[in-house]
Amino acid sequence: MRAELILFGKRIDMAQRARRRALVIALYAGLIALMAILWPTTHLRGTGGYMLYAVIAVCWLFLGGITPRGLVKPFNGKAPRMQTKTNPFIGLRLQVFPPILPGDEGEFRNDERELHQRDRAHYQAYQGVGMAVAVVMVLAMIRSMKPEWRTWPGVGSDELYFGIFLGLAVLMMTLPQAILLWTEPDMEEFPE
Amino acid sequence: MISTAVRPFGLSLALRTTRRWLVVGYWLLAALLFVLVELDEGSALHRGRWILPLLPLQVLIFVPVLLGGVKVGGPVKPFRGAHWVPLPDREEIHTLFGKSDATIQDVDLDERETLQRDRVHFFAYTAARWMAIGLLAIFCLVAAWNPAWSVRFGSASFYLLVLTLWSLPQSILLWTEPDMEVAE
Repeated sequence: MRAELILFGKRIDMAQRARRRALVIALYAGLIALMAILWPTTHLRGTGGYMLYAVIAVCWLFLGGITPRGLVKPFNGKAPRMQTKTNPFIGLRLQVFPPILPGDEGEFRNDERELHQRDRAHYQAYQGVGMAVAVVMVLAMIRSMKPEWRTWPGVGSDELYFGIFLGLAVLMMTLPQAILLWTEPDMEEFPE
Repeated sequence: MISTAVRPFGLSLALRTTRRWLVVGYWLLAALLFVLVELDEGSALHRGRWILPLLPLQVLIFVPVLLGGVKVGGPVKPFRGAHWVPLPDREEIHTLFGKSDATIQDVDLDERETLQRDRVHFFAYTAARWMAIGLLAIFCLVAAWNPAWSVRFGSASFYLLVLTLWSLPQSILLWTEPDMEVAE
């Protein structure tokens, strides 16, 4: 895991666990707020896809894991293709695409301890998602047994399935990184 | 991670080939149940409501018994260990199909098995994540193309996703673990 976040060229110290936890809470609150805004306007249809774009942006800028940037190193341990120069327009201006040089490969490769942490986080996330689908399954059963509940919460079955799949996809793309950021203790400051 | 003392249908799981047949049988059983309900057009269980009997059957009976991982008595040791024993005065483990010579002491995971469990869950999670995103994309296409099909596709996809989430790590373990020595 990286100790600092580079956001639009600015370095933010994230070595303290309290800061990382605040970030995780803020990100999930933002995603929930976005979903809450989209739901009444389109019932997630059409614009629901924007949630996925938002999650990819969140991973790219903050969480990492499934993207080369962010606090958590890439889970697959692969560095992106070498770039010797930045994107000439937006990337250069915003400094969100700093160049990746041959010496930076260690930034993307997990050591043995980090691999164990990654696997443990995925195990915990798997348990969480497994329990989440079990709860949804029970709710679906109750809804099937009570026909009068079919109209609740005012959306059709297809939209409900869409919401379930979208929620699961969002959860599965972010939960292991959130667990890692939440549980990792304060990092030691390395001497200059 | 795999208990050779547990023998579903009397089969020893020491050989990888046997374990692979068990995994294939499990997934075929899931597919068969799906097809049987799906073909029965007039059934009250149809039209997206058939997850009612199918999923609990898979999750509560077939997964723990045929694959394990969820609770004591299956081929794969319980991922979370055994925290609760129904009959503490009796040490042998009972299974629904087949028999077991395992004792409650055999189900705790050692350090190596814990690492193996975590690694398998990493691979399973990665696969399930891509599956969830793929199903969401296909669901959007189906809903846009023919909205009448979206509920049926949604319930089928949900069935597949729950089935995958509850049984993929065990399937990977049983499929990949090499031949083992039979426990004495």
